[in-house]
Amino acid sequence: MGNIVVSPHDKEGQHHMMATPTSNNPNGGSAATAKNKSEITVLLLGAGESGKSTLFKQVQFFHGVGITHDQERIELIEIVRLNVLENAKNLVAATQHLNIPIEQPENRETAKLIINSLNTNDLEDPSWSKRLYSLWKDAGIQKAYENREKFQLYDSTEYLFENLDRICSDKYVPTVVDVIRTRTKTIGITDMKFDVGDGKQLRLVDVGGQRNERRKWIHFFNTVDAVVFLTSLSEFDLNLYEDNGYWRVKESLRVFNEVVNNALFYKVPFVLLFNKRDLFEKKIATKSFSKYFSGFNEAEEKNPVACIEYMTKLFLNEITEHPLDTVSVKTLSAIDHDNSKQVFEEVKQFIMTQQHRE
Amino acid sequence: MGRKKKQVTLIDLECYTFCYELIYSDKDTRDCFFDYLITTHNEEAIYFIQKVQQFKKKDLTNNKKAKLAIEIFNCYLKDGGKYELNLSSKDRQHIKEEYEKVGQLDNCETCLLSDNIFTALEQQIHLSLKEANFPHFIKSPKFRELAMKQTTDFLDKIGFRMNAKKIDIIQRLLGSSSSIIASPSTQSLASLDGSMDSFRLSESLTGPIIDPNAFLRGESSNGWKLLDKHSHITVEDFRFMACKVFEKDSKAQDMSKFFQNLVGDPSADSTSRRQSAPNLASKSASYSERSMSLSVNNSPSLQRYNSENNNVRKISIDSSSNVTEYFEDMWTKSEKKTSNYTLYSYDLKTSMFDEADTDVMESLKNIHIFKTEVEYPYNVDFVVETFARSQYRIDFDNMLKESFSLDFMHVHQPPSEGEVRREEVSSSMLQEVWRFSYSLLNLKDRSFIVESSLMYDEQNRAYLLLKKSVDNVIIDDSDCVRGRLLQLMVFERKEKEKTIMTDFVVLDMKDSVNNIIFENCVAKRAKEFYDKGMSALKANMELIKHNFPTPSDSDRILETLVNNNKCGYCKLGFKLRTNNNSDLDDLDDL
Repeated sequence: MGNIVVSPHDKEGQHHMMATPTSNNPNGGSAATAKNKSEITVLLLGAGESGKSTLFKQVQFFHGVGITHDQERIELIEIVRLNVLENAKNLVAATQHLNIPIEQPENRETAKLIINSLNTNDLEDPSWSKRLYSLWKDAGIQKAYENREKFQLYDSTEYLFENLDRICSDKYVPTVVDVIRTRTKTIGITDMKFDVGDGKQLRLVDVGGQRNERRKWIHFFNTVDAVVFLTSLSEFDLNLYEDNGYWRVKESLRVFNEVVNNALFYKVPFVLLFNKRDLFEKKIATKSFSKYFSGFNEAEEKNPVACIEYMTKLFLNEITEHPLDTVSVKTLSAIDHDNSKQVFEEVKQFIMTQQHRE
Repeated sequence: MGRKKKQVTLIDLECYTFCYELIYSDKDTRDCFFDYLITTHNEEAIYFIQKVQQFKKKDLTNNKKAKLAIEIFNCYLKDGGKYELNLSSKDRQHIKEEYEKVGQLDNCETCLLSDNIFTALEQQIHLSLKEANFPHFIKSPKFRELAMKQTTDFLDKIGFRMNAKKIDIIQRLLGSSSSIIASPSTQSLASLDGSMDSFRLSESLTGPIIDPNAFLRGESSNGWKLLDKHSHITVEDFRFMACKVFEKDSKAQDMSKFFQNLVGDPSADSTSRRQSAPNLASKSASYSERSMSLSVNNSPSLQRYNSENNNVRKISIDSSSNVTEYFEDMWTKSEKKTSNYTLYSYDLKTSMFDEADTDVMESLKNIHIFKTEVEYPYNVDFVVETFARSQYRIDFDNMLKESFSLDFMHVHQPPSEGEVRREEVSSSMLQEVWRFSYSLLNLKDRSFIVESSLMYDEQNRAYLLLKKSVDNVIIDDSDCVRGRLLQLMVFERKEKEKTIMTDFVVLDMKDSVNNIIFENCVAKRAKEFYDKGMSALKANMELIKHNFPTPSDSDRILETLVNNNKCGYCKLGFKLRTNNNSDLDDLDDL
């Protein structure tokens, strides 16, 4: 693997997602000197919708930053409601594309309003809770939902519709879980710092994962001390948001390959997190896993452990340059507070141990 | 509105919710937002919006428009464009089709696209910025810096004041933003000739005793160290509280005055006028002694002045002085001493009701302030460590559901939802429930969800535990009225085997509670502090004597204490034990 990797879809060479170390390193040092630094920079990387920001929000919450207080969550009311509207619009649009009629006439009326005029302020009116819920339960919408791999839909759709009675109220204050489950496409770069003992601070950097966002990653590559790469287990039947004809797993593997084999990261601890385990387990109960992976034994396709093992092999096979003893693999369900806390603690320990080893 | 224009403070910023559209429509804030977007690598969004604005201009020639349309496509919309936008496949496809339909990409002479071709995309970009970047922007130093150069009417222009009534009674009480608190008046201070000496004395003493700046910076040059840096309560919180008390957070004496207000005994007599050198004072003076020596308002002349001028608005407060005067003018203190504890309660002076505006007074009616002092005949490290151990949780059975359980603070992380529900908690968060068992009065219980942080003053061998209520919605307290609380507990070494615990509490009960009932509860609480505390301490001492193994303890405070011990920040009273085969959970058995 070369030191310079050009984003594959970039025919004109403009998407230099990764590059060799440059001399203008703002922190004035490479990963090799990390143990002497008072700040450890950890990058959360991964393709779009792999759960980077969800994990980031959880970590914020563990550290009492951002969303712990009512006041701060109140500011997110509109975003939660926008999520509801986006999901409703996508579902209604899907019924049209998939040619599945919405069955009940009153739900068809609701669908029209959703597409044409409904806005987040309207959702303060509790009557919308009933109308949206009735639409959600409409056989046509449910059928479209069952076929959600054929269009773009947020993972939190079901959760939001099941909580409409709270959300559609003028007294609504988002709960921590609401905020965690709300999907916001990350654009640009966000970071937070917190202490990890020994006089050190950990700086966690969250980035957008879509193709155009990845070229921004480079701004942190020179100063990175550890990489946490997330990939979604449940994306095996989905295509990309930014390129609807492209399989998400293929994209994830490609991005992983580019990141893990990048020369800048040879010496940094690398964690691969298989996220959305919860969704994945639900999904394989009803969908065929082996259909998407010809090399996988069909008889094992309902066994999550076997499936994850297979995915792990797929990803580890991509590692050609990075020393394997500095790579750790874990599964995660980032929407689960306890699990995130535990996994992140392990990740932190792994990174710290690796740093000490150096 | 008639509200006085004043410079924006951090507190004001916290009281506002900001609106993306309003911020975007104001030139200064929009520019600031754009700057922010560039520093967070979101330049493509603003460049695109600017290009679209150009495209929409009426005076643009058709030829230029065509060129611009092609530039926009190549730069922002095409896969791999220099400033490619983060668009969905569907949106990208749609706009591509629009270009292809009219053959625009092959025609740089005439613009064949409609003027509003980019409208939907532009909205999409704004939506993304609003969702993803705006919430971070309004918390950014860039925005705060800009806002704090303005007056409060600027905030009204770009946002809405949130629950102004709720803002925090405590802020009104301690802070100076309320109308009952006058602005500094050097003139009247000068007239208080008699008080000037003590004022100067206080000034000279405050700095060296505690260097609050070092403290605020989290440094340790003068003995102050944050015991646990992972706590929810940050140095910023202390700074914030100090701000509320003193307006200016940068002043060197703020923090000591803050502690003076919280821990001190403002009614102390002239023993305060000890003329010891600052350095000596820092070594010898206890908190209460120090606060006495710092107190400026004990001066007879000041008291006389106050009594002669009931109007609190006239009371002189120099910005370098403190608000103790207000405090003293508003609240009257009474003391109740028993063999085991001393209880001070503060009541609103009746004269206040004539002076202050009714809104504020209505709010203040729900405020209760009291201070408890208990002496334990044990070493301070031992006391704190004992209370920090999970097996010595003190339950105030009838009145307080959970309280004074330092074990509840595992300070690094908030409790999980499950933990909170099971009430096994945790963390810097705990719940205090005041139970009022007077059903006839139909009085609802009060619940305080509190986060706490423990600090250690190395020099004075004192531990400080700050608690403040938080808006946590996880804990279900639907049967109770959710109150607010600000509390500071100090465990101070008096002698080798003597510890004084001072507990200063400000409660906003959110609704009035009969005074007699309240006092009854406070007294009961103080008694429990002593009884249950002693029982825990005795039991732990037994353990030490017999060297019984105790349950292993994953409590973070202990870890922190151990870490601090290793670093030489503090010393633990005795050796920690790690085995887990003791069954001593039930204190009543001991």
